[in-house]
Amino acid sequence: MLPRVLASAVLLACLASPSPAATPGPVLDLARIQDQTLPNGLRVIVKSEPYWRAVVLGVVLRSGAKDDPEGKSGLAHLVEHLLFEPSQAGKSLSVEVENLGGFVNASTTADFTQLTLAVASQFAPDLLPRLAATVFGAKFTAEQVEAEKTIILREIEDREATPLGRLDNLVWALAFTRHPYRFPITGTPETVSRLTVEDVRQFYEQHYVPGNTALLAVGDLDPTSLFALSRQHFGSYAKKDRPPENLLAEPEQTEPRTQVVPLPVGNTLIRYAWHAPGIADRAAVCAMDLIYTALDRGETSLLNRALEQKGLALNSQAGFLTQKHPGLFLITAVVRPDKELPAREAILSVVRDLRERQFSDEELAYLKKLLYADYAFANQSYADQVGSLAFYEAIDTYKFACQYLATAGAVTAEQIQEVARKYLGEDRFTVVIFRPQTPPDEGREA
Amino acid sequence: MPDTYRLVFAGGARNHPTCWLAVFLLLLLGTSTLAQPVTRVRPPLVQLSNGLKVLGYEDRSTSLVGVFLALKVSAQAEGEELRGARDMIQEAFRFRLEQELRGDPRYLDLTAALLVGRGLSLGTEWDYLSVLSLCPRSELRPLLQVMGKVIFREPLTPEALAAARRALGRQWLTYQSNPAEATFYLFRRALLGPDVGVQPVFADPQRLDSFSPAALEAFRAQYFVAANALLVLAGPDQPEQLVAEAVEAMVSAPRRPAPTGWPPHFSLQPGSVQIATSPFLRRGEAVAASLMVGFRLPPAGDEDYPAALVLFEMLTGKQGLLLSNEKLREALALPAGGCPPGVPSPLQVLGPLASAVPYLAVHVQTTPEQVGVVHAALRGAFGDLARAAGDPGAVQRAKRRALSAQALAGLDQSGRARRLGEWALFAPGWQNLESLPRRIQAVKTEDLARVIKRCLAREYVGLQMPE
Repeated sequence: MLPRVLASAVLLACLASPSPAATPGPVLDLARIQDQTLPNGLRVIVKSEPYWRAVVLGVVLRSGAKDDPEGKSGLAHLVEHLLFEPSQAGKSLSVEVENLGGFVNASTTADFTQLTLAVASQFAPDLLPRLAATVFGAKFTAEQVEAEKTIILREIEDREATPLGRLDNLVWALAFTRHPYRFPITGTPETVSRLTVEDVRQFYEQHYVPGNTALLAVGDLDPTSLFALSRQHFGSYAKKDRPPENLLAEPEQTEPRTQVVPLPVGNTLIRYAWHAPGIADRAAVCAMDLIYTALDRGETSLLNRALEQKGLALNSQAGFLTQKHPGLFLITAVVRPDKELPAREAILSVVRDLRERQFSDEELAYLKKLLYADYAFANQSYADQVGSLAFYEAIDTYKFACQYLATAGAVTAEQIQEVARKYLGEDRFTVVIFRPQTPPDEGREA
Repeated sequence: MPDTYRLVFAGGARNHPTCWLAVFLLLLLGTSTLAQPVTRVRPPLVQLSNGLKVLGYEDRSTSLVGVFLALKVSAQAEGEELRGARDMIQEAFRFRLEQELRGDPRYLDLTAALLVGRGLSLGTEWDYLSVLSLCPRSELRPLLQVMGKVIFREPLTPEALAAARRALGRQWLTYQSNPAEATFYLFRRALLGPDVGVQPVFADPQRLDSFSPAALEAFRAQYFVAANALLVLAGPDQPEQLVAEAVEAMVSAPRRPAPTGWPPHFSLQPGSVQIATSPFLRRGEAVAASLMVGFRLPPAGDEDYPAALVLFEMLTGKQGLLLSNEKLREALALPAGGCPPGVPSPLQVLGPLASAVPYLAVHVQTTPEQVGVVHAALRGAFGDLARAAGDPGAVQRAKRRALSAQALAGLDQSGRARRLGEWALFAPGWQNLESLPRRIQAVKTEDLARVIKRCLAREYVGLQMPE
């Protein structure tokens, strides 16, 4: 047993330190992150965490479905799928990572494409050459392209078979008339069927280039070593930037758009959408996040109080994703058919209230606490942190992932009201309604 | 100065005071020259005067603290009369913890965490109970105070017990309709024998209604005591600061003696097959059978444990022996490499989990006519282990997977707290965790052969057929 004097000393050492700070610490601390840009344009971002011997690596390309050429929607997504096919060296990245006991994930969004893998930290250096070859040195054959198209067509079919998947596609297609956000990320059966290996190669050569790419790492590795290995394995690829973005801007929506679809469903599904700010206006996206929090998060949320608690909806939720270009703010509700009209009125009334009144200091403080908790929990794993850093690096700069809470914390009630007035206008919404099938009533409502 | 707690390491260091002093000084200096496992520093394990053991682990990768509280009360301790009592008490705790944590402005961040759907998880494992939580660093002390009050001090209230009965009634329905759960229970009975500790974790609502409040309270008073618990705190602060929070919050929990009889002991059983029928394996014209086949493995502190981990990994993954076995794939209509993402697989591999008796098991859902064919194919795959143990490529692959499995169990803060806790519970002595990666890498063909002979000679089977 430890001598009494040492036990006392340990006790004193523990109790002598100051009590923990009342304010929470940073969720993503910029001081713990280092970055370098290689001569060929690749950016390397590292958050070194020496506490546990695991690493998550990520690669993000600042190209996504929005960069699909006209008539070829789904191309970015198809290329991402093909990255798991055997490369020149004959073994795919996913098989190699799996043999090391790790896991790989990839995803395509409207704005970017991301690859994430996790392994024990001792294996990470060995994976870098394979990762570099997968990202910048892949080759594609017509057979691989056709095989992958079959898988994607099945994915599209599965998504369309779910009411929410189908609803999502319709809402974006109706809300946007010119900007490529109107196309589904997976593409449509028609566009995907027409894609060729030449399309794949051209997209890959244009977008999978060092100047359009960031390599991220969170976990047990030394930044200096990672920078050196990155130069060695990624630096040999020629400097190249992606083509300039040449997207059609979305004109301002000045009147409601409505579509009603009869379906063999039991309840009515309603989704409202308003055009929302993009990342270029950081304060506005933070204000919109607070609006989303007020509407959706917690048992006392505004939507819950106006809908579920009054028996008008079975379920309701709000949604907002910060995007590179102005996206959408969404409100979705599942209601019994006889409650459709009062539910729709209640939703518009909640939104009207956001335009007409400001949150009190107490309400705003509570929303910010909810937002903090949400962000903290959304960044507790190494993979989450790679995801957040990659997300913001793709559409803006990774540094905003670290500054996000401070920016949101500075938003005032006045700013929230301004954002509501600017974006959540009375006649500026799009609404798509899935009604239980009745005698023919399909088509757009005035 | 009160002897509030003392440093504890199970195993060799206990008998060497100079070693203790060195560790203590190294801790204060913030450096360590000890061998490094998945963690880089040996976290201190402290015992409070009421017997609660606390492990503080510094991890500044996130702003949150992972909190893992384990109570060393196994299903065996329930006996036949109180089967299901642990789960009921856990549910009562859940109700009270949520009641305490919601709506109190002191806990607003944690309340917010609960409202966003995260922050508190209670588990009833075969060998222990767990409370797993995540909270912002600033909320750690209030959280621990609430946990200490609910778990160690206040009596079980009728309201909490009623809420527990309702919650467990709903869970019972889910359990009943999931054939895999019942098959797992059959496998466990084959593995461990007709022991009272082999009963399902869940109890039916009628049984729960038969528990008297006095009996539950007596059970609780015996087992849910600080001296029977382990608390792990992994978070963005020095270990001493984390431990100090536990001291502040938990030292007032009553000092009661720890019960004996943990970890539960199960005699080695001859191989056997346990069979039952289930109405849930028949849905209209469709029928299925649920088969689980497995083996007992050495415990975490055993010298053969690293080799057992390697053997497990030789079976798993797209290039493992199970999915490489053509006969098995054919019997289950599986493509090469297994089912594509998003498609549920009829084959699951389980183990080795942290428990008194680790095991390796394969669960398969197939048709009644195919049970014999599938079982034979599984035996073939297990038989391939002996051949593969002599294949350097296969062994190397399995070792790497075993090393990654240790690391990836701690990709998030709550996972790290849990992992450290499981090791402290089941692997006596920190040196077992420290040396595990080295011992995995050192596994030889003869070690694998020895474990195959030791463990795979006895097969345990649970089988459910449609009623």
